[in-house]
Amino acid sequence: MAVNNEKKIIYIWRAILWMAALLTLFWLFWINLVPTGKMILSYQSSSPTSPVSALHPEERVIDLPEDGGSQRFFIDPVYFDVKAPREFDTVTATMTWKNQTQPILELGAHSVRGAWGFVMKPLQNRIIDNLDWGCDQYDDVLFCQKERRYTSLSAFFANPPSSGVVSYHYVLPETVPHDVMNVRTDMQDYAYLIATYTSPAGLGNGSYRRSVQFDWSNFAIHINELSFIISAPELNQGHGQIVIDGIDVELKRDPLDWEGFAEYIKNQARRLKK
Amino acid sequence: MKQIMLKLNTELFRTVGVLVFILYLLETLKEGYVSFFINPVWVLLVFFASGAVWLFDRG
Repeated sequence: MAVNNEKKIIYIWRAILWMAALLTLFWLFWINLVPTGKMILSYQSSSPTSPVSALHPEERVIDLPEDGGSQRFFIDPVYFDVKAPREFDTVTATMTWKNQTQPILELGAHSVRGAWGFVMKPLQNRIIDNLDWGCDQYDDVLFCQKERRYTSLSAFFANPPSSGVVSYHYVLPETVPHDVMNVRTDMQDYAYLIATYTSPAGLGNGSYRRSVQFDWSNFAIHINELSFIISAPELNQGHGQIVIDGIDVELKRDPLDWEGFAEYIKNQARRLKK
Repeated sequence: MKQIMLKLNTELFRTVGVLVFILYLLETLKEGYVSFFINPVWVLLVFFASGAVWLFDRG
C-alpha cells in the first residue's frame, strides 16, 4: 500500500514538473511572439536583465547617491540600447529628464551599423522655448516671426525673405537662404524661424517629458538591439548636466493574426539558416 | 520519508536538466529569446543543486 502511495506521489510530482516546464516554454514562445502587438520596455536601474541598458560610455556618466535610479551625464553624446524580441513597426521612446542650461537636447536612432549615422529628433530646444516672438503651429511645424510680416507659412513660401531665416529640423528649399540652428545660434540675428518642434511637457521641479516616435526601419538592428543616442551638443562647455529620470520604449506592430503568425515562423526559420 | 524525497529530487533533476538544455539551446539559436525575460542561470542553479543531491545519494 505504502509503495503504491509512493508511486502515486512520484507520478503526480513528475506530472507537475513536466507541466511547469512545458508551460515555461510555451510562455517564452508566447511572450517572444508579442501577440498583442504592443510591448513597453523600461529602464530598471541595477537590474542585470533590464531590457533598456544604462547610459554609456561610463566615463560620461556620474553616479550620485541623491539621483537614486536616475542617470546623470555631463559630456555628450551618450548612448543606450534596447532589446527587442522581434520586429515591430514603430518605436516610441518616452524620455523624462532634468536639464540645467543645455540649449538643445536631442534623441536619435542609430541607423547605420558600424558607422556614425543617426536619425535625430528634438527632445528640448530652449532657444525656441524661450523665444518671445509670435508663432503659428501647423501640426508639428512651428513658424515664428520677430515682427509679423506674413499671415501664414504658405505666404512666407510664396514670397520668402532674402535673409534672416533660421530652421530647426525642417528642410527648407534651396531657394530660401537660411541657416540651420545650433547651440550657438543667437536669435537676435534672425527674423524668422521654421522648425519641426513642439515643446516638451513640464512636470515641475525642472523635469520634462516627451515621447519621440521612430520607424522600425530607422534602426540598424544588431543582435536584437536598437541603439539610441542622446545628443546635448557642447554640454561640457558650461551647460551643466542632464539627469535622465526615465526611459520607456514602446514597440508597436499590428496585433497577431494567422497570417502574421505564419510570417513569424517563416522569419524565425530564415534566421536559423543564417 | 528520506527515500521518497530523494526520488522526488531525482525527478526534479531530470526535468530541470531537459529544461536547462532547451533554454540554452533556444538562447544559442536566438540571442535574447530566453534572457530577455528570465535569467536562465537560476534554472541552471536548480539543476546543479538537485544534481548534487542526486550524485551524493548515489555515492
